[in-house]
Amino acid sequence: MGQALLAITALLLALFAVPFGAGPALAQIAKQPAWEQLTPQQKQVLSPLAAEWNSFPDFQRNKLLGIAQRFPSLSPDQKQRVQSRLAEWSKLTPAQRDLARQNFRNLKQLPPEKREEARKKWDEYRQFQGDQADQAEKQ
Amino acid sequence: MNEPVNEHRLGKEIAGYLDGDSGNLSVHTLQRLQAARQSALSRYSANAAQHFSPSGWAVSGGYLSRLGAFRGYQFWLPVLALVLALSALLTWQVQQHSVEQSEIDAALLADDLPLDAYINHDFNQWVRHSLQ
Repeated sequence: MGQALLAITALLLALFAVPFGAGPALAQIAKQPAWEQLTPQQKQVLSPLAAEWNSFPDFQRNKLLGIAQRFPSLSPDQKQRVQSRLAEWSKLTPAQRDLARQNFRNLKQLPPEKREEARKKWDEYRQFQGDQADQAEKQ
Repeated sequence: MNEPVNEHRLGKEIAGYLDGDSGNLSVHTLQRLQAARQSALSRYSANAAQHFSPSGWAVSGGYLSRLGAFRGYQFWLPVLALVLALSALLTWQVQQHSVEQSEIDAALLADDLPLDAYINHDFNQWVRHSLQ
């Protein structure tokens, strides 16, 4: 009985204390730099977002800084794509971004031939949509 | 009602006999009796001191009296270690989650499929179906 009491008390104490212990990690995400405080390299990568940066919440800035950090390791084509999509990406709602991440993970799980098929499917889908839009315009 | 009175009388009679005979005890027996009494007294006083010490506030006994264990490092050291370990684990998880998400975001934005594809319901339904 006594040992059970000790164990329960220890667990409760630990559970209450953990949020305080994790404070520094959460604070690290909580405080993110304003546009003026970014390094020249970060500003260059994130330039499509210069106007909106200071209105972004801290968690969004944190993620975008993570993208800027990985930017140098990308190929020139990939760099171009990232920069052209940054503005569109930051306009998505958090739920849409989570959905996109989940779907991206799903697609990555497919074997290479299925992934290639998926790309073709997308192209066909876009073609189909474009044709429909053209027809609607003509009518 | 008479029982306690009888018991009292009986006790007095026994005490009388014992007192009367105590004069006939050998010196060796007397010494042993005295030593046993001293030993019992010293054990009693040590026990009483422990029971009424500041840590023995739970005089009612039972498991509550074991609460004194909370005051020792034997209890606090493991608790402290547990708290530190859980804090470190949570900190690591928060950082790891952030790093992983940034990696996915960068890969997603750099992908040859556009963002529209990843938020398109029909297309992703097809991907999910292909996974099954």
